[in-house]
Amino acid sequence: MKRQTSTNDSGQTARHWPKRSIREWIELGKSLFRDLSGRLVSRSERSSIRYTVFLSFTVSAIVAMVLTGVLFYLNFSRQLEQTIQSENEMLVKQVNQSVDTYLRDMLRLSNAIYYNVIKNVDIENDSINSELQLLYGTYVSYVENIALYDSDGNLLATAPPALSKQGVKVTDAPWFQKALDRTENLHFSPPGIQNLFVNAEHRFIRVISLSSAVEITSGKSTMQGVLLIDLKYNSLTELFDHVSLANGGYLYLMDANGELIYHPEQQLIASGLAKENNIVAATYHDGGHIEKFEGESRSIIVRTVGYTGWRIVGVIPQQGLVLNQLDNLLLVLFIFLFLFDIVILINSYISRKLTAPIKHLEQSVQSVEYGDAGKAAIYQGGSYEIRHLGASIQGMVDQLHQLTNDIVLEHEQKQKSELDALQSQINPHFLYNALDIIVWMIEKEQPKEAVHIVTALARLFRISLSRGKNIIPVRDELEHVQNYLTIQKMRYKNKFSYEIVMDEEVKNLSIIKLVVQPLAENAIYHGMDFMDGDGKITISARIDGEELHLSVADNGLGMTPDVVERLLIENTPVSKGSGVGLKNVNERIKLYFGDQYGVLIESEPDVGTCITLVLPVIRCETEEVGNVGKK
Amino acid sequence: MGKSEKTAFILVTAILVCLLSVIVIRTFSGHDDVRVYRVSIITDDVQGDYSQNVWKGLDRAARDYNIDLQVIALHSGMTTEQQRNSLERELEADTDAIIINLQQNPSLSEQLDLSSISVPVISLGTVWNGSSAIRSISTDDTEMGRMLANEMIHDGVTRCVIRASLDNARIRLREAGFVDVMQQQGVDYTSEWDASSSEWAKLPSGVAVAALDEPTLESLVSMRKTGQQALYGIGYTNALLSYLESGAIRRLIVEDDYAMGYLALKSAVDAIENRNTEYGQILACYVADAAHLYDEPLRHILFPIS
Repeated sequence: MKRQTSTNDSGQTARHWPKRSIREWIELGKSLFRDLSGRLVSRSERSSIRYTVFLSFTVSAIVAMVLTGVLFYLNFSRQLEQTIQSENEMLVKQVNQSVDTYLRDMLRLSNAIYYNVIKNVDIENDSINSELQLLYGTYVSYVENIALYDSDGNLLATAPPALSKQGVKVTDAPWFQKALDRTENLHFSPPGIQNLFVNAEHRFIRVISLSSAVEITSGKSTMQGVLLIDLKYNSLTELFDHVSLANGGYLYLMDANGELIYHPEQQLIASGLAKENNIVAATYHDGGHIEKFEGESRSIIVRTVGYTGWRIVGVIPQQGLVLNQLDNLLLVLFIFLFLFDIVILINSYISRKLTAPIKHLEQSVQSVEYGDAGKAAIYQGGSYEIRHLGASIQGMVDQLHQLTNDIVLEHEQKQKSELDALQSQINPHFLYNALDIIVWMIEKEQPKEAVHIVTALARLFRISLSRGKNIIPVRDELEHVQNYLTIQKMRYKNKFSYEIVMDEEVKNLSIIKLVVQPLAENAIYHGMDFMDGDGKITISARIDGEELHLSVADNGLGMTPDVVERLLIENTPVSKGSGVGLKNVNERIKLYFGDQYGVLIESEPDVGTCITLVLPVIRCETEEVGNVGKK
Repeated sequence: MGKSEKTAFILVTAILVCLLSVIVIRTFSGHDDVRVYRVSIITDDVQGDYSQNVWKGLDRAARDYNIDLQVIALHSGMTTEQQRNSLERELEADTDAIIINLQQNPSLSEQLDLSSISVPVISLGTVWNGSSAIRSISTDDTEMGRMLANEMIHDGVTRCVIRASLDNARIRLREAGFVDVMQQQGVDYTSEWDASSSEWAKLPSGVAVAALDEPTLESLVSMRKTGQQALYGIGYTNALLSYLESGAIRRLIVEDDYAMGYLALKSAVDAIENRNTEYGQILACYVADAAHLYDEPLRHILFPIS
């Protein structure tokens, strides 16, 4: 997807991504996915199965590991965060209880002073300094001073003994006014500098004032006054010292309005060197919150201190809280890569184990493909499917071998048959006899007859060879047998005659060579030998449907049925002639054209014999006759 | 294993070995150990009377930034030459940074040869002259003088005397700022710097007194019993604040010493870590009076929480 260039009205050009609708984006995503997945599939098809298995296992393992790791990490991280959060909340709660206890103790002190000391004396006549001093001494680690004022701000009693500072108007102090405004409550004021009493050491002490309205007995009347207990600021802050939350977290204390009472960086905040989100935190209700302050995510826990409305705030930075630190990430990465290494080894072993049988099988098939199958069997090992596949391929290979052998055998038989047939043509006896006749004719000064015989002989051999062809026209085959009969008739001194009858349409059909002559030969040797010139051999060729019937009939001695039966089964030794026999002819016909074709023998003793060759009709232009008619 | 599998295995194993090396190095190098910075502070304010809040700030910063703070005190009994030699010895010592806090004799800084110093040097309270490589945390003394003068004029002062006992660059700057305003407002003033002279103690009636440093203020406060001069000053101690509260002193011009001390150490750490190239930080100064002594911002400046 390329950016487009557009020009606005002022002529400025800008390049931008083309606008598309959501649907178009979805379609684009789908096409990208299809493209990617297609490339992956194509890649896997070009790769070896072992590599594909290894890659698939490894990717699956990695995805599972990553998913599991991420889930565990998230779950563990969440649980750890929750645990840390709950621990932090517990810590805040404990500090809250400590502060609450501290404040209640101070309230009890104030009540004790009021009810056990102030209420029991007549301030006009008695002094309460000693009692105050006693109580002060008990709480000296918490209390800076205790003072009793009348409603006009006059100091009535104090512990430890102290002089009031000149010019300090107690009645203007917020703690004084609050105490008289709401006499039923005790009031804790925010931390401030105590400025009531003269301090010879010029010490300025930070205190938290606890004030309450009291009834003071003076003579016969009572008057209102204010009991002030200045608490040492440190006694409160000590409750927060040494309390640290997780990941550098901290606690601070603020009043209900968000003004800081204690903060570990309070001075820095006041000086502007640090910041705190206390004003916002004042709006949070009790419990846990997540906030973002100064670019940092923080967990906030808020607890309200009873009675005062003060709030304890726990702050825990979120960054690097649990498992995000570099060391942990390095360790996780190390473990992941280590497991990845283990996965590679295991998957390599597994893929090798799984695919080795397939590989062996593939090599076996390759051997068969390259023709080496005869040297080794097809591998049949591994899992059930591979063994079954191997067995099936072995069966197919065996069948292939068998078929190949059959074809080779058939071919050899054909060659042998033809060779036999050819051999029969160069039978020395027949050639000797033919030459003898020729010599005799020459001696008898019958050159024409001699030429006739020589010509017939030459034509006989020429057709026998037929330039190496196994399939020749029917007319050539019949010419061949005619030449043979010509020679034999001469030899047998015209003991027989012959006739060749052929339909015109038969002449151009094709036939395997040297199938008729052996029949004629048999007819002569077994039928005509005992004839005295009335022997007749009739050779006919006709078409019967899809078959070509070539018959050689004689009126010779004939044969009994049992002899007829044996003729095609046994290799009948032939005492005369070529010795090829009917069996050879029958085998050759069946080899070439199938079992439905072959030799039919009809014979009756003393009547004659008719041997018919049943062949398929093959037109001369079709020379591919090896499988014609074969089923 | 096939070729691609071997390649993947070797590659992953190589990355694994590298990662392991990184983890081992990080584990045993103590990279997570928090660094402790060594900072020396050279000071002539050994008692800390005039800079107790500065020390509070220094202490806080030392805790926050893990600083081992070494204090080298220059005693008042040492001559300037001795002090200078001591300074220069400390400058050559093995430390990460040096803070110089010369309250009594800030001009001593001008006599130091800092050309060979390789560690960061921070001047506390004094703007360092003569070297732009020195960081300083200070207040604008001239502005302090101006503020004092303006306060006195605001109170209706028409005549005043200037007193100071520390004759150093800071006090001179205060005087310059003070005199500048007085001259602009046409207020009569006289100045006396020699505390041993008889004139120094002579404070005419009805004339306001401007004390430019804490020792002068303390002396004048004790002398005030014999007069009714309105006393104004620059600087503070707890005793002076008490006098301010009681009315013996009318106004004090103060600075945030706590922040100054804190920022000095923070600046030292920033300089060690090559952060924050700000070389001169000028902090604000404030007017303190009795009415607002315990209000913000004076409360946190004068009475820092420590």
